[in-house]
Amino acid sequence: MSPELLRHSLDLPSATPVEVWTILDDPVALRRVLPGCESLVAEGPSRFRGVFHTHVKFLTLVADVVASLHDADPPRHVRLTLEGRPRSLAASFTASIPVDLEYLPTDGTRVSYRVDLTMTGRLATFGAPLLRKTFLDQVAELVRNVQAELAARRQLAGD
Amino acid sequence: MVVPERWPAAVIGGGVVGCAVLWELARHGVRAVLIEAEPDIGEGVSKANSAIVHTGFDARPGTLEARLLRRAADTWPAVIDRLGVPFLAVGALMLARTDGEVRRLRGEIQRNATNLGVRTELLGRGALRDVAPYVSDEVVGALAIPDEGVIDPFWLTRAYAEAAIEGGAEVRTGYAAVAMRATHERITVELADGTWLEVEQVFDCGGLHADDVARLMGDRSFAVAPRKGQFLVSEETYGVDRIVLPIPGPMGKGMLVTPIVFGGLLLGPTAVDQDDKADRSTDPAAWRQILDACSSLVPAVRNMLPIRSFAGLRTVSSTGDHVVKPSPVTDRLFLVAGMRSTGVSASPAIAELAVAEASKLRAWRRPAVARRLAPPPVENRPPGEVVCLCRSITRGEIEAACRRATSLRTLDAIKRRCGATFGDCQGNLCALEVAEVVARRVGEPVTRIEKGSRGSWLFRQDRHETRQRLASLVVARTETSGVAEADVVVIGGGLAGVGVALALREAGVEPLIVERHGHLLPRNWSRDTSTAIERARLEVLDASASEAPLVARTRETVSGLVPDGGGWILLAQSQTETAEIHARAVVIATGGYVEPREHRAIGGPRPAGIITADLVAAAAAVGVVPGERAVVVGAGRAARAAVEQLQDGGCKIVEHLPTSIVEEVRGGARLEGVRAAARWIDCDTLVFADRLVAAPFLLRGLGLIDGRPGTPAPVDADGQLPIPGLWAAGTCVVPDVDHRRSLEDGLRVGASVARSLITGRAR
Repeated sequence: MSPELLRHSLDLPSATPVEVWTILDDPVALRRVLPGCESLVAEGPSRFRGVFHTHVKFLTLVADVVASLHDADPPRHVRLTLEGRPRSLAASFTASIPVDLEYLPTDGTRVSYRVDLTMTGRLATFGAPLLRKTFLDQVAELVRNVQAELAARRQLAGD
Repeated sequence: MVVPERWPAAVIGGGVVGCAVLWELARHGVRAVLIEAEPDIGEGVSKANSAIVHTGFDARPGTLEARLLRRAADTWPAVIDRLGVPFLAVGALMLARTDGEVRRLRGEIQRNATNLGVRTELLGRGALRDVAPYVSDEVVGALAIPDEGVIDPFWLTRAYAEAAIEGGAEVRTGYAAVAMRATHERITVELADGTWLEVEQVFDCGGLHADDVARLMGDRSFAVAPRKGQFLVSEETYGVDRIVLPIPGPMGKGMLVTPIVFGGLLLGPTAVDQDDKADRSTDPAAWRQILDACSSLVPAVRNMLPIRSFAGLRTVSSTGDHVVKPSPVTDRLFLVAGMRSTGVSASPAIAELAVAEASKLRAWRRPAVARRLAPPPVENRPPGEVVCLCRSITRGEIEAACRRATSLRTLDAIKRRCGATFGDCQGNLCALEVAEVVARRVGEPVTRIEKGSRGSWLFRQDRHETRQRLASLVVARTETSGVAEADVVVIGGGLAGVGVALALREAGVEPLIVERHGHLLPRNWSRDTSTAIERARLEVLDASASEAPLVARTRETVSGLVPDGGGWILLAQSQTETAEIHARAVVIATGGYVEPREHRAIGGPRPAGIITADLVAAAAAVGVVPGERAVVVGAGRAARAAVEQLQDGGCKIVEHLPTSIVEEVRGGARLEGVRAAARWIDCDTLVFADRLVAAPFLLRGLGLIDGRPGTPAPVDADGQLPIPGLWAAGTCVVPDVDHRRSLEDGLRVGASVARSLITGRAR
């Protein structure tokens, strides 16, 4: 029912899994690093509700999203679920994203994740290659933001 | 006396190259106007091509084409970023089927690519299977070209134009240049409406007609000949994730299997030189030829069911190369012509070269400004009702397309901007509603909205007399909007949906019907054409209607089914909101659509006026008629209803063919005739009412059916789908254009659903 959109892994060379995990525990930091996040409110220890404003090259969408964290095993594993409704399209999406964080000897983190995505309505008419590309672009921006966030924290701690 | 407008630069031709030149001029601060004869930009050569951004790996060394393709490859990342166009760097695989072909790949082809600076990699049989398990077992090796990509050529053309407009340029569609004369300081361009422009530098980007434009100045230095390429479009993908092509031949790259940037596959093109610059007809022989050639690369496409075929015309120059230079007659006319099949791929470099050379001539000295096209405004308003059912495109999306900077008022223009009418049914379910949205935007009656080129009219005002429909007797109580709950939701209020509802009610379960139209039962269904069983059942319902009407939410379209703890949440889209409906069980009774011409191997061009009974019924409901002299195909009650509706509207039935024996059509903007059984019949309208295609579109999002058009809902003997709580009934399971068993099937499935619910309760 939830077709796999992609599997991917990437390295964060200068962030340990513990450091990465601290962002997941901090809704304010999460809001800063999530691409296009306009608002994010914690509705419980592992549930957030937010509004995302996304330029995905050719579409500019505002979506209401509920994000939940499941099966958390800090700082190694978590499964993120996203349920979203773009405001201007007759569509919805549900994503399940299991994420594994692996310590790298360079004090970095290897992030491995899979995206299972179910879409309805208008979103379901876009082909998987385009959605895959869009998702990877967003992840690349997220990684840049995470690195910047952690660098800023280190600088603050150093000061 | 009208004073002519003065412009530093004018671009004649609004294809991808003309719009790229306009953007480049705007980037250099040169005030420019683009003149396009057709009602929309990109209406000529640029609307029909393979949509590949080609690296030029196989370009002939030493040619301008090869040089421009290489230069373009360097500039594409910046162009894509600045214009925000959908682009996928999917890469390409050139397949070899013999050891001799492998030697060619390894030899001349890879060497040529390397010399041109294009990255390639040779793959043996095993490595190829790892990355592309879908290719034929007969393939023994491949050359991977990772930098080949696909783009949306409509989007690219429009983005060039809109970025140019942001930079101060003007685009005028519907204006043809009919004469030019040069003076020492400028060229006077006379337009078809009698006005003229005085221009310091004219760019001839006339595509297929670039030589005709040059002739207006007496320039006969080159000629452009059309090379027709026919394509097939599929919603199915078979896992193909990159461009797959054979070893090229003398006429070009051969026939390819190419992923479409928004999903689906493009197969083709053929390559046939011709003289007629207007002939974009397709033929069944080419259809077979394409499937034969492409299935030798990817065997699974052999059984593909195309949703569309079309023909594009490449612009082959008599010089054998791109022509990007001043005219030998006067350097105030700059020739930009003969792009063959690489106009899209080379467009940024062509524009760069043309404007750079013209800048030297005209002493334009401003450097180019690197400016991003502003992203489309955030659409934060409710989407409005679903108009294009196949693609879930709402009124809001169509209105947003209408608000874009490039003017538009045709159905084809809307299709290229948001995809409406481009789905499985090819617009037969929604063309009228799309036209109504456009008509409201431009403040004109729907009868003034055309399909594409001038004269491609769609609807006439009819003399419709309201016919008594049984539908009006099946009273439904319309639910208010917002969150709702029901034991069973029936999606679709046709004969099957009403049958399901009747059976459920008889079993003590009150269903909720969600129907996208404003009434229950099909629009083309009347008491006159109903069966005895239908009359008996529905009149009983009618008799009890005042005390216990069926409960329905009309004018709402279910756009999504989301599992919810053993039940379902339905997302119902209305004019004002997206409502949630919670249900224990859902019955899909979404029917189907009459098979359009595009699914049929019928030869000829693509004029307006080739439609299905679905569009006839929609038109009749609002008092317009889609033709004046029609040929109707089909022998059942759907065909009889279409005939009645057309006649009611004042359309003459020229011929009523019992089965589809149409072999070919002819016409320009509007249909002029059909050939059936080797005989031509003059008409302006062809209506198919003979075959139905199942339309359980909702099941695609759940992964229960793929993109193949007409795949019926996969139910068991009781009408149950493989996912608990989901059922289907009627013609979305067993397509039948006359819906002869829809009501009975609905009654049967409704009884099964009721039994299941009651058993579930008992447990």
